Amino acid sequence: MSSHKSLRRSWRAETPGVKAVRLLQSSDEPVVGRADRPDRADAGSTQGRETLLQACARGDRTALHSLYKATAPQLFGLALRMLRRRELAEEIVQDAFVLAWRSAHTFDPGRGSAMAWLARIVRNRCIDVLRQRGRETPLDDASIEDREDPRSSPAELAVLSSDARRLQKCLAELDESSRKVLGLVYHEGMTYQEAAVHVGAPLGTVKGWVRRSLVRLRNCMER
Amino acid sequence: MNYADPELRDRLAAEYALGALSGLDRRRFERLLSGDRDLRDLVEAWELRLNLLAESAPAVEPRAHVWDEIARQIAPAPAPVREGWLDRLWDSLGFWRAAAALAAVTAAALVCYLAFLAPRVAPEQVAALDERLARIEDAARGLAGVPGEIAALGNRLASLASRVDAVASRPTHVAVLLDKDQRPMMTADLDIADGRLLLRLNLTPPRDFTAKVLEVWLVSPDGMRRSLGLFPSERPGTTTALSLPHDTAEALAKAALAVSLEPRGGSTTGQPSGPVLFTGALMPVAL
Repeated sequence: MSSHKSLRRSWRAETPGVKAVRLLQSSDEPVVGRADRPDRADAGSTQGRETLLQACARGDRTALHSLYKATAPQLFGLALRMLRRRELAEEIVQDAFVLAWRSAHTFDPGRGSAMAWLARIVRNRCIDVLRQRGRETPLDDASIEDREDPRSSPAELAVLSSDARRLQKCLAELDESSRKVLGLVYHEGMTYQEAAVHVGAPLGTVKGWVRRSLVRLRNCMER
Repeated sequence: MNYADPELRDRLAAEYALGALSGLDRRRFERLLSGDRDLRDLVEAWELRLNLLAESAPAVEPRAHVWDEIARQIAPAPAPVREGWLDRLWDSLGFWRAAAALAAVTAAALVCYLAFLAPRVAPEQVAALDERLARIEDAARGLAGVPGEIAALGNRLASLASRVDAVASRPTHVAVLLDKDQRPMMTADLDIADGRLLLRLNLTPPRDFTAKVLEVWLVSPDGMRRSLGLFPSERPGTTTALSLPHDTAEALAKAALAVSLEPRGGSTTGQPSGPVLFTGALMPVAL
């Protein structure tokens, strides 16, 4: 019992975010913000995340904390960008890590990366919220324009896992309209209809772009 | 266009994983998903592929309380009152005894109803209805170009067929599944001979946007839990028939049923991962 208490206290002492609660706007700052993140170093090897997730399956709570420190900022960024509501995005990240802890033994590194496995939980919940409740915060066109091209700079590419780098290379092979719409659907959580309105193209055209891109991405990934 | 076409299945799985489907298309696909393991695997592969994009998402620090709450929820010691109430209940022998006793009373009432009051459907009537359904189904297949309508009609037919089953069957065991407020949420009829388990949802279960599927579990007296399948809807009045292997049906006759709330596609852990909403033990019908 007492050892349990001290364990919890030590978690709290290490809790991230106390040192730097980033402002929403600064989330867009690309290369600098990414490169100077202190936890990047120990999480840098994406291999490490898989090992951490597997350790969670064996009941290692400190592994979950390390995994949280390594991945929560990006997962929260993902949720925040889709939902535009801090409390809701935090709630979803929180639920996702509790679920990840309970179902870590179902993670199979042969099928995908730990980050994709975690992002899948977070993003599916965001989509459920968006599709069930509808968008409570209107899409703000100006803020989207700043960041809608999902292409990454070379410096950013360097910190990605090899699979994620391959996906970025495959994305770069798509034409610009398709890449743009794919980014709107993935990162902003837009429906086909919303994306069509946003880019000012007919719905059928937008659907065609996305469907063709998905097939091309898969073929490119499997090459 | 039909839902067995591999190209269409793959396209829909990709669009669903991306989150591009909305409204009716999305709900229709989720209905397909709940009964199709291969389709769920296809969706998972797409989700794992597309979510590699998350590595390029902007990093924003969540506030400190997010981790504090996670740490609290995964803590091994008895948790504060709010959390784990249902989990503890789940493990409590007293609860099972009380629930079983209550279920026995309710089941006895149900048996009386089945034995003396329920209208009997003659086999000829069932056969006639079956034939009419088959004709409607054939007619629906002829409607080219409206695959969605055919799928919807298919679902309605399945639901109608299970309702016919419900009135026509003679269960060997019955259960009433109660929630924590002892409300009869679901009834179950088990026919050991043909391994058919009929479930009917009576009341609307509590909703939780992070989890959206009801999963049905067999809980044996030694506490082992085994998934029997997903319940297709949260709408009261929904009836579904699960077809069980003979040994599972035999085991279930001496066990209890539990229904938990799970993420779509069902629990990924092989054990209930969400809250257990209602439970009830099977009782033999002495007719």
